[in-house]
Amino acid sequence: MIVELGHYFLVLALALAIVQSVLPVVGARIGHAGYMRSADWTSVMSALLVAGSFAALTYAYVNSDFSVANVWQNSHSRQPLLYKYTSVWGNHEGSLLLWILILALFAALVAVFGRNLPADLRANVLGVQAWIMVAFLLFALFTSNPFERLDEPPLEGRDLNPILQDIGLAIHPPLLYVGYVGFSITFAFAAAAMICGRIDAAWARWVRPWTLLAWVFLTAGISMGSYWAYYELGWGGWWFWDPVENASFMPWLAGTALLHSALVMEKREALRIWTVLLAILTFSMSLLGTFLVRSGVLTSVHAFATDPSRGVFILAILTVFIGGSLALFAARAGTLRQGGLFAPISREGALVFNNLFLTTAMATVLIGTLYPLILEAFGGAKISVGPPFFNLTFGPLMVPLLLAVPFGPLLSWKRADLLAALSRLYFALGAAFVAVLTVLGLTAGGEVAAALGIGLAVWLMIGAFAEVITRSRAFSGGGSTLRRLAGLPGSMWGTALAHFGLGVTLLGIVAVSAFEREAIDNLTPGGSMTIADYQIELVRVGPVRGPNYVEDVVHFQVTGPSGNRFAMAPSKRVYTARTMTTTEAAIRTIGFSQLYLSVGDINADGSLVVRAWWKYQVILIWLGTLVMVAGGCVSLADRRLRVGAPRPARTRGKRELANA
Amino acid sequence: MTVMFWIILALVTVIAVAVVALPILRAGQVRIEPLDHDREVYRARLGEIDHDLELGRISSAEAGAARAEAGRRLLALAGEEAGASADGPRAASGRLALVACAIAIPLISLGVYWQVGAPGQPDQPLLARLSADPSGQSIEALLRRAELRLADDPDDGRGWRVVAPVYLRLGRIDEAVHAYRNAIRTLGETPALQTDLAEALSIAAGGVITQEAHALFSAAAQADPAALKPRLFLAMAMSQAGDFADAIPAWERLIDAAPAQAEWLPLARHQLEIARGTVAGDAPGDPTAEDIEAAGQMSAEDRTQMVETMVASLADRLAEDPDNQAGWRRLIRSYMVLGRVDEARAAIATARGHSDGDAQFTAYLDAAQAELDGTAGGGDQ
Amino acid sequence: MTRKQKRLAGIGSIAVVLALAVGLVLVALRDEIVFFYSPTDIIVEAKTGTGQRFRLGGLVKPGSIVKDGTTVRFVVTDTDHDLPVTYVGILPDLFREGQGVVAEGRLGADNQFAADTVLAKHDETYMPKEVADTLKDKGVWKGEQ
Repeated sequence: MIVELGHYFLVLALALAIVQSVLPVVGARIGHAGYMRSADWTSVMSALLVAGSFAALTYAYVNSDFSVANVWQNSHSRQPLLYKYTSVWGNHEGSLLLWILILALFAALVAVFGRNLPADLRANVLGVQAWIMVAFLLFALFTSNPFERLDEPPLEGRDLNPILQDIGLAIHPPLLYVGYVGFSITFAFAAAAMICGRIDAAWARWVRPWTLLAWVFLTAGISMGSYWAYYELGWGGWWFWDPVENASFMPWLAGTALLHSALVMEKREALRIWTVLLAILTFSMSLLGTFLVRSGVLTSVHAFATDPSRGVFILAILTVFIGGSLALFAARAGTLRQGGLFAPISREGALVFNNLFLTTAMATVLIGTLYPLILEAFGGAKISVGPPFFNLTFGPLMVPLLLAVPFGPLLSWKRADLLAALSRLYFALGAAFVAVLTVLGLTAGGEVAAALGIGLAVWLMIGAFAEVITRSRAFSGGGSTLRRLAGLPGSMWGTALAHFGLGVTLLGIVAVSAFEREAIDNLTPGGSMTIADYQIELVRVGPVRGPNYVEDVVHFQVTGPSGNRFAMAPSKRVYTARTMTTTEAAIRTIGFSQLYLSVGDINADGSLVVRAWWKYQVILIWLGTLVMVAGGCVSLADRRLRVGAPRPARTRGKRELANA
Repeated sequence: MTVMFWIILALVTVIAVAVVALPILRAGQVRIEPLDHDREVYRARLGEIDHDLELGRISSAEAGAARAEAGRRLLALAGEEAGASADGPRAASGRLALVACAIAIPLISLGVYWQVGAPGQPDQPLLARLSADPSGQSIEALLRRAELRLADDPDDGRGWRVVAPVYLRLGRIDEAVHAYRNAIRTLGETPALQTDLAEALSIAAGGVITQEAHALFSAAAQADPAALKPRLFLAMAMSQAGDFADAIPAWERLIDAAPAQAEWLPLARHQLEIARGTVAGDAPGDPTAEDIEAAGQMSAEDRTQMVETMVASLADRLAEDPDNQAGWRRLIRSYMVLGRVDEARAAIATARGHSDGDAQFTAYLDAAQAELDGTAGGGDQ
Repeated sequence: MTRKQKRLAGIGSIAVVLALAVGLVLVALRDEIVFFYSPTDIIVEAKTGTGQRFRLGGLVKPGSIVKDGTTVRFVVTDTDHDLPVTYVGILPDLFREGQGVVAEGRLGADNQFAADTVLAKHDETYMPKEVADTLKDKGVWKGEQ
């Protein structure tokens, strides 16, 4: 009963979404408060229904109800409980349901916390969100239904792909989805703004917290996904420029640009057309990512051609939403007044610079991702576009952008003095020079590129706090420095933290790329190898029986440079249901660096190939992204982002929702 | 259960309609000036400018300019409002929309659900299915239940002993072998279990009595000289190996000891004839797959099918991995046992190409060839 | 600067950045993309010279895997032609005889392919895309249905 109720809830959510996609938009047009208000209610109801539906599917997974085809295909009764939960979204249909759930939750959030929005804008935002809901609910129900039943349920499931049985998988796709799908709200805001003709500073102010929220989750999701690939795939790489990764990275680049341009629009009412366009572009990238990952076009263009129903459906969604919004945009763009003017050297100018480079960089990633597909679809040669392409195109575009980052917050609006800004950055500049010279000295001049990269990272990290330091000096509020620092607005701290985090990530990337060490050897028990001052001895190999796998655990004894000893135990796992092997790497964190051990198959003579990496400062890559996320959260917590709602004439100010 | 399902379904649908209807019915009770929100934004902006000035984020000149800008917007809003309030929105009666929604929502949801759903199909959690009354369950379900129990308690030797023959009957030979091994591990070596394991191993090898099986049969026969089954298989092994001089007395003793109603008696007599025939140089008749079947409890069709499949898969494996000499030996012997002479010849020829000058292997191939020539010659007469 | 000049300067600098990006992309597309070849492409059609980086795809020939310390030798076949490959390192978990594989590296002077990366299919149902397409062209592999 529960499974079928979950199925019905999903269908009912579709019916409500259809109503919600018409009624509030009409209401906003003819000025009917009830029609507009209905969107708030239906949004919350839809979210509850989809949540109920998701819970029902989860229930089926946890109880191994193999009469649900999706559960049968993607789980196993002997799976650990945690992975029964994660199996829910570890497959196409389930992850689509998660997509829809997040879509519905975001609409409900706008309905509940968006009281500061004018009724017509809110009604239109929820209406547009409902259009997206309708499209994806139809997609789920008719091409990828997670609730499809089997008349004669098998007695055992076909197991979850072992690679996906990992705690990292439990966390990163939901985060990624919250980010991805969160940008649907900014898209809805953009479309709604164009429908009501409210493309102004106030709109930018309203849309910014939602953009920030999506950005925070997307950043965290990409970071987690990268770490998951790093330790689970056993290759020791942290970013592969794989199309699936690019699919989440492109919305991030566009979203980051949007975050910055909305600032200009809010403060100066300039860049209005551009900001709306970016909001559309960002969500288009999310949709494109969904298409790439979900249509099977990446696995094989041929496979896509033989079963195109899913791919064509998403492609249709993509075309309708991007095409429709651009058409709306074309109709409205002409009616916009000229925004605020500014000189090239100004805060606005710096943000335009940021947008220019971010979107151009995004375009190169887009080309690199789509080029092989397009070439092949038109019968050309089969090629793959790998890291060298992206390093050559994306890398150079990032350098000027990163150099400019510390300047941005120091420039004043409208017209600014570059030299004055630079004078506040002398300290950062000095630190960067010292860093470059130190690295050159330590490597005897051998690592020029690494030295420059580390210099750039230091410049970013120190420069990020230049604004905070300058302002806290000028702040006349009195009291201790600490008090003065605490008195600064959250958004300023948020900016500083996010830019600092960027520097930290860059530092990690440069350090690990330049100073990573790798060793590979064929060892037998008792044998040992050396990497970066660590002596690694293979002690013994022992079999272990897990709940649904058996594994050969390889025990190592590692001796560090200071004589400290510790054990590490990577393993080879065989999952019995699919007789599939996976490599479980062993990772030891030492400071910000990591020792990474991976083993190959055990040979007949008892020897095995051991691959060891010394990942110098690698943790900084993810630590930096966490700092960025923290910066986003601090900024989000700034009360100034949330403008109070006007008090309704007849409710006597009870609804002080400003800080809800 | 089904009634409950429909009640909840109806209830939720009614709530969904109500959720749309209520705001429409309550429309017009609260009214907010459409531009109040915008005004709030610019007021907040003015406050921020003051705050920024205090912090020294902006100079007083900049603050002045920013204030003027926000002020201009506020003024512009006031102008818009004056224009807008003249023909302020009038709430239309929402009755038409109400009726439309009250019809559309149930119609869409029930209609679509009818298409894609399975109304009333109950949940079927695995545990509940397995703990249901065993009498009504299929063998597979019972087996699955036992498997789950054994996974929790892999040292339950009696459990393993129960499931092993079931596997064998279902044709899941490898699992049967695994189960017998586990039973022996926990219950210790008994002649009965050894015999059963050896039998399963022989079936897995396509009817050929492998070295391991042979050892197990011998051990069982030694431990329990009265048991006939191990001796039957040992005799079969001798016949298979072409060791007819030893096979003849073995079969004779078996036939003497056999109870009159033993199912395998015809098989033993048949094998004895073959053995004698070969020794005497007479037409041998072929030791067929049926002979092997009679040894077990499987139906003739099942066993034939199985043996053929095993041999075919062995041949496939060798086609991919032709350097596997042990595999060639097994395949050639299987073909000879099955009487598929031409295929045996072909296999010998191919195997020669992969002998790598291994004298022992070549000698084996020569012997097999000679034997084949002998039987084929006999068959032509 | 007048307003018009400012605007021109703005557009000019945007054009410079875009031109830079286009230039980078074109250079990268010429030099940094990796072509995919089957053993037949290399042996019969000689599509690439020695020293050039490319991806080689096909099936791992059964019985061809030889391990020697950390070095692994195997043969990639598209059923028409074979090409020997050497690789130093740990083979991916799903690397198996008779299964699809993609190796990236360079062709040595001795017509041995020295791979620095070996990718096998990600799971039971996944076949590296290039391999699947090539084998389909040759009618060896029947696809996913």
